[in-house]
Amino acid sequence: MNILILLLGTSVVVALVFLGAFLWANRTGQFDDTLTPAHRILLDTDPTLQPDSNQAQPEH
Amino acid sequence: MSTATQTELRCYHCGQPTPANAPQADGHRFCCEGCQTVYRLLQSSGLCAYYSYETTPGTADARTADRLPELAYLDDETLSRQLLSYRSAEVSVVELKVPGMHCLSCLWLLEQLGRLHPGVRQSEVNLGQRTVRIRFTKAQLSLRGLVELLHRIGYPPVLEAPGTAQGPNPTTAQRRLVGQIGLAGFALGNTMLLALPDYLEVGAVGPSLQLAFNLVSFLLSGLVLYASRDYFRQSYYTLRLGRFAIEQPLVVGIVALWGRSVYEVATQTGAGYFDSLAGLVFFLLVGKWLQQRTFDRLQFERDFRSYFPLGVTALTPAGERTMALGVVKPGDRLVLRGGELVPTDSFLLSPEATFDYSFLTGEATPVLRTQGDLLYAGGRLLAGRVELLAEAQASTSRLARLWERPTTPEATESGYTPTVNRLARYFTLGVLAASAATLAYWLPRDPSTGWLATTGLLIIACPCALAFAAPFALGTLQARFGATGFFLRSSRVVEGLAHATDLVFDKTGTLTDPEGASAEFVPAHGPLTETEAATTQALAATSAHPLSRAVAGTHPLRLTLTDLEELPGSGLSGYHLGVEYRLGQRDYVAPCTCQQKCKAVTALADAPAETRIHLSIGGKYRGYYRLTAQYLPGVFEALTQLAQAGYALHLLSGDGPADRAKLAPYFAADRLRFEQRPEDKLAYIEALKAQGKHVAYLGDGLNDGAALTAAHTGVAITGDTALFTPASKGILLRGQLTQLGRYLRLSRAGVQAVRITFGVSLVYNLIGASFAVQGLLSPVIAAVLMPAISIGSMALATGLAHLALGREPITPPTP
Repeated sequence: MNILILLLGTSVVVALVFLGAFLWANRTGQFDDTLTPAHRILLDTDPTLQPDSNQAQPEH
Repeated sequence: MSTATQTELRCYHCGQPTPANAPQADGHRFCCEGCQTVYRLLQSSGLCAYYSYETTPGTADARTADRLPELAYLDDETLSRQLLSYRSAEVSVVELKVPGMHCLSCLWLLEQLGRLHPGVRQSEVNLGQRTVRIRFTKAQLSLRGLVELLHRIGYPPVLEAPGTAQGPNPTTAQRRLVGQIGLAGFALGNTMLLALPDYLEVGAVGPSLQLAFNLVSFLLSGLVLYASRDYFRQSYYTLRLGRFAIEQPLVVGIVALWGRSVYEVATQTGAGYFDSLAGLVFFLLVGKWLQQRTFDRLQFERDFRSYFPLGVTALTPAGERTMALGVVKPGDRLVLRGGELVPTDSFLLSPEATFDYSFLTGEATPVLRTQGDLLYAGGRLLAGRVELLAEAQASTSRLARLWERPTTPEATESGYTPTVNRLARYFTLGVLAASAATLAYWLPRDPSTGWLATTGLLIIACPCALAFAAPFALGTLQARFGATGFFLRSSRVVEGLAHATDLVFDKTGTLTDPEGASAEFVPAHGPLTETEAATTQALAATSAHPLSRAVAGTHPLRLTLTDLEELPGSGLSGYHLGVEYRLGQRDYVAPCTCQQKCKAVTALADAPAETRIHLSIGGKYRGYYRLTAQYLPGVFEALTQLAQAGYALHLLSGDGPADRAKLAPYFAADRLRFEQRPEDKLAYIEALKAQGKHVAYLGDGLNDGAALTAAHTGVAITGDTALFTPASKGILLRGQLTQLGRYLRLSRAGVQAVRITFGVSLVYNLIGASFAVQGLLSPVIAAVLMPAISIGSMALATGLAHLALGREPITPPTP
């Protein structure tokens, strides 16, 4: 059972590391904008390489 | 097929319907030159992918893309330094708010600025806050050039120096809250794990290990208390002010839980409730975060500052022109007409003028200012036409803040209606009394159950519906109202609209369209000379009243009149080269002195079937202007519907009874009154209020300011003019008046939503409390249920409001 005390200590230390990482990320503003990156990923890296879909449409 | 035709007829850039002779390019139609200009620019830079991410991604802002505003002031070193957030010898960084951005295409285009101009090194969009952060090379691109570039692609930025933004930085506040949630979540996860053995079986782990678990939990609870410090701080402040706030019962619950847990651990009688405590705080904070997110979104949507029709008349070398308030800079010469507000701190250039500062200072006596005096923004020019020299940069938000500022004592800053605050007090007292009674009942019988029951009761009793229902339900409506051209000072105005029983209308400028009014001079003794006509028009131009504007016409006149006076509801007078000109009601101008029955007098003897403005020059009666009013399209149908909906309709007009026959079908005879002076209107409103009626007044606020203020809900009707009516609780675009019925029905639905939410939460509280007082409700379950009702009441209030909006679609104004 005493191994539990060791585990307890270890888990709390590990969790504290993650908490520290989270607080650091929050403080440096990584959670400030959660909307734009989600949209940005939908954009093509280099749009010049993509055919312009509007131009590709057949003319009436 | 029909959809194809429709898309073809819509603007390729912004999706607006296109006129028959629409500008075209590459087989695409455009609604205006502006949209076409943007298209050409993007086309030439190979940025047409803009049109492939979304169809018609452009905004209405593009309509002016071919007409750049005057931006020379951006070349000013001190001003540009204020706007830049970073500058070095080579590179500058600026963060601009671009209200127009709304979609994927916008995001893409604004991040491709570097391809439009080599001077842009990097641009990064924050879609949530609608800002774009741009790094640019100073040698290649000036700030002015950058702003012009944004204008040309149809994304005009809102220029406001960083210092003028109000309130604490929202980013900092959000980071703080997210950090608190992280701390509480961390503590929650660990304490729950440590508490597990205690739930399985008492003594599942050895006593020494249990003690270690408890001690770690105790240490973690310190983090929890730290994370909940804002609740303690707020309840302390409100308590010191002797007020009740929603945080107080929460803090009592937290303290009760913590104290009980520490006692159990210290006496080794149990493991305590550290897990429930962490859960409680965690869910509370998550609820607060959710509330803040929703609020931010609502706030953005109802931020009328970005589309509020606020303009000023500026004197430029090219003549008078209207410009947006935000671009006024120090040194600009501005023109102010009677009834308009001083838009920014400025010096008076005209010899003297009288200003009403009652709105700012509460001092009712108008003050006289002479040439060279400094005028503070917010004063209202009583009469005449004066010139000002702007001393400070104008800020739309500053004027808007003046308007939003509560002027009545009952409107407290807490944002909750007085009803809610009163309910919150009863709620807190009720909960405290019930807890004390529970404790008193249980202590002699079973102290352990007693503590459990009391803490359970303190936690289960959730005032959240009180806090959330009104802001969310009414705030949702306010946001939608604002987007459709009905700006409310606060969401509480919705409540006032919902209770309205009597609707009182002004006629000129409210039911009629001043743009459509035309004036024709009917001479009594020979026609006016050219100078006389010009002087009369110049005199009329000093007033902002719709009738005066009709007389003034569109002539850009620069005649100097002295000793200008305006008597609201009667007329105006002024001197030109020593000759007095009077324009207005029959009894205000000089009476006709001719002995014969002149044409004017005979015309007067018959009941005039038209609206007239009389004119006298140098004490001699000269005739009158015949005005033909044009009613707003659809206004009579709207009035019929309002009457059918059970509203008592009243009309108080300052003009003659010319249109009585036309209006009689819609208003009862004793509620249709003409030739009402401002004080008559006020008295009428007061009389209605004395009868216990709930009055909503709709007028243009020009000669009925007192009535607007006196009514329970005063709504100012405005066109696209620079008129700003601080006395009102709402501002309605004139074209939207026909949808008043919808707005009123929605307001009632909003108040209904608040009531339903209160009802649901009351039932929840009673059920929860009945379990809690018996000691049957464990704090764990309570700590889960409580956030459930917070989120539930938020969702219920917002959902009901959206449901109502779905039933009553409001057409947005046509630009």
